[in-house]
Amino acid sequence: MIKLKHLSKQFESTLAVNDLSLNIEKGELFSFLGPNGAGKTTTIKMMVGLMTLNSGSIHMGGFDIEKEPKKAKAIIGYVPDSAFLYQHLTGMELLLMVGQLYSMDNKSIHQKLEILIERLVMREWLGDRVSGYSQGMKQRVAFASAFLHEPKILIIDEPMVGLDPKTARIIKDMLKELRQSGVTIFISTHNLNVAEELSDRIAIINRGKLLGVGTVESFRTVSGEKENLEERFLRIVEEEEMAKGL
Amino acid sequence: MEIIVSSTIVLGLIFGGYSLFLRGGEFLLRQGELGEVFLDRLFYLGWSIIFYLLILSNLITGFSTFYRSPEVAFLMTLPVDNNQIFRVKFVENLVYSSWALLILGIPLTLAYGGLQGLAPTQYMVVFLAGIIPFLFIATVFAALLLMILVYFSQFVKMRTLFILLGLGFSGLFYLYFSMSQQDTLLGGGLSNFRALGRYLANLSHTPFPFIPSYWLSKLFLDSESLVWVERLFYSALFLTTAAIGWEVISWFSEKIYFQTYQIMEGQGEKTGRKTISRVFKFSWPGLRSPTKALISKDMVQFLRTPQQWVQFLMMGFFIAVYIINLARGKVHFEDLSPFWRSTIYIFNFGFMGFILSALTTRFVYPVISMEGKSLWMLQMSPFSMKRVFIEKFWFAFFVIFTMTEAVALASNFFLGQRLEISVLTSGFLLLTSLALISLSLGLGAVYAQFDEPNPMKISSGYGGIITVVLSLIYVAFSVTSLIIVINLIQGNGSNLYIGGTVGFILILTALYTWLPLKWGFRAVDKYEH
Repeated sequence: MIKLKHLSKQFESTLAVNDLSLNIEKGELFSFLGPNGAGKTTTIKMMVGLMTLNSGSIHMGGFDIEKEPKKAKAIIGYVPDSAFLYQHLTGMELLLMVGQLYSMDNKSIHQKLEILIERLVMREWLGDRVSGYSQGMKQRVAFASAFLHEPKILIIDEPMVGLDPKTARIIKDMLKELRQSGVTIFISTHNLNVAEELSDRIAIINRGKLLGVGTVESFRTVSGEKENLEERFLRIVEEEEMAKGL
Repeated sequence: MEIIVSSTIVLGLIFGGYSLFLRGGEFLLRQGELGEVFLDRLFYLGWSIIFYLLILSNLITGFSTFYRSPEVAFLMTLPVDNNQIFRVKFVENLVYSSWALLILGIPLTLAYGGLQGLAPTQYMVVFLAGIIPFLFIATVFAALLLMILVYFSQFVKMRTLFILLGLGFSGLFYLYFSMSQQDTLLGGGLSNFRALGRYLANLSHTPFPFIPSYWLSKLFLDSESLVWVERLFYSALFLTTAAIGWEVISWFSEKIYFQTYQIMEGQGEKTGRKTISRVFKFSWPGLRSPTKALISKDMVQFLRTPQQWVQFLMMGFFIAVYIINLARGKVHFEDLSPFWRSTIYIFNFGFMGFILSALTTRFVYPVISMEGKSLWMLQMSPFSMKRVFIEKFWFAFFVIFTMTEAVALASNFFLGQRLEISVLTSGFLLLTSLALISLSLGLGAVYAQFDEPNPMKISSGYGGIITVVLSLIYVAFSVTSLIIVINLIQGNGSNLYIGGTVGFILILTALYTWLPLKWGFRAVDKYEH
């Protein structure tokens, strides 16, 4: 469903993403782990078409993001790490606008919205302007806007940022349900608990380079012994740094 | 590079303006005593308009400078006196809102001073004791008004306050003009000298002595008309008013700045009890769903941004005053010779070109930048950014062309122009609208500033200056071409020359339309956040 082939991105002298290749199957929940500045957000922005590629290719649901961006974007839902939304619109107007941008008819927008409002507990404040929202409220609206057009692929950059524990639980449950219904989910995070709880597979990236891909179990099991995912993650990153003499 | 280009453009504008005002002034002085009176009067009126515009622009930029700036929010968390924050922001606001108007004011002042025979040292005195306090006083007025408006916005909606302020301003404007009988000359005719004498007597009384533009016009009088004691008096008047203004504004800021800041902070939560605006509910017949969404979003954002709609209304107000003046002079125009009628008609076209330049630079240039950091929502949608760009182009074209065409039709009617000339103007305006909207939108995309929320600051940036200069150059070519075409038509000139002139303006329009749109398309496709 998602195919990244030899993907690279350079910003002046910094190689943000270095020859990255990944293959994610339909209905899989895939977590992308890495320390700050590892290249996670850059990879995601290239995947959703917000950034151009220096080399390589990205296929989303069979559509090349560079050659067929409209078709690819029509099946993607995206939640950024910090949701910048139109400040002067109300949350309701914003979601209505998103539905219309995806050419949904008003009836199905309202039907779908009704479910999302209920599920994400937004009814009380969705009629207020976005300028008055807290970070968590904005994040909930961003989730609703990504779910609204029923995408086949969901890309989420740091899913739990700014969310209170109750909403975080709701989001986790929704992600699990979507995965069961066949939606492919790609999340980028440095919260290892989230990755451990939700993921079918994880990948670790550092300084733009992929350090490993596998199931959570395969990562935790070293020489037949089970290890804490956090310790394993830190060791992999440390070994990579030492190998580079950093 | 940017500094060199900007400085060249600004100096070019100042020098060009100076030459224009100097020649205009010399022409008036050649008309004898009547010309002298008119010259003084024009200087006074020019600075009066600048004074009101300064208050307005200070008021509009003040919203974001004093209340919406993230820097203020950060400074408020530090152990810094709120009054100090206010003072720093006051100076910032003074600079931001004054510099563009000074480009108009400096050449006007230099030319008038030159005509009055001021020595370089006198210029210095006038600048230090006149123009600097003049700008300062306007900023004091605006900051005071802004704090009062924000204070009352806790009881009455900000939009209602602005409407009341606008009505009050319009009322004062009307009272001033009706009491000062500006159109005595037009109403009474020039047939007898008594009417002319009455008009001249009126002119000497109409300046309002309690506003700084009057003091400034007094400071500029030559040494024969103004003794040094009087010059000292007006300089002292400026300096003491500015000093008292500073004390008053400091007292006010100490008392209510933080309170008004908190009122503004709380407004995000207070204002939105409207789930969906009527604009979003409107069916927009014939438009596809994504286009409806884009138009509705742009309109709602415009209507909820006071910096936008207040200034748009003010522009509309000035245009309305212009049309009313033309309507009142309708009877008089019919008595004029064809030469003067054509001259007024050309001035009218030039005025509309100027209005178009102002409208496009102020309202079309910032539209891409104003998407801000929310642009990702459009970039993520299943259509190209080119489509967003094209939608913005047609929306701007529809609104601005309709407005200018309506003004053109009304003004041509009041000027009693022949139908074929009116059609010609409409054609030229169509080309001007196409060229200037493309230019503003295209360069606005090339020089986009997504981190700047204030549309006024966006349009007064580097790209905005280039846009306004290129727009004025186009208008100058357009007006010149129209003069040539009208002269050729009225003098039964060769069709070849008419065709050549029209061909030139068509090619220029094509370049002004195609190149910026091409650059804009390229820019919007490459935005990366």
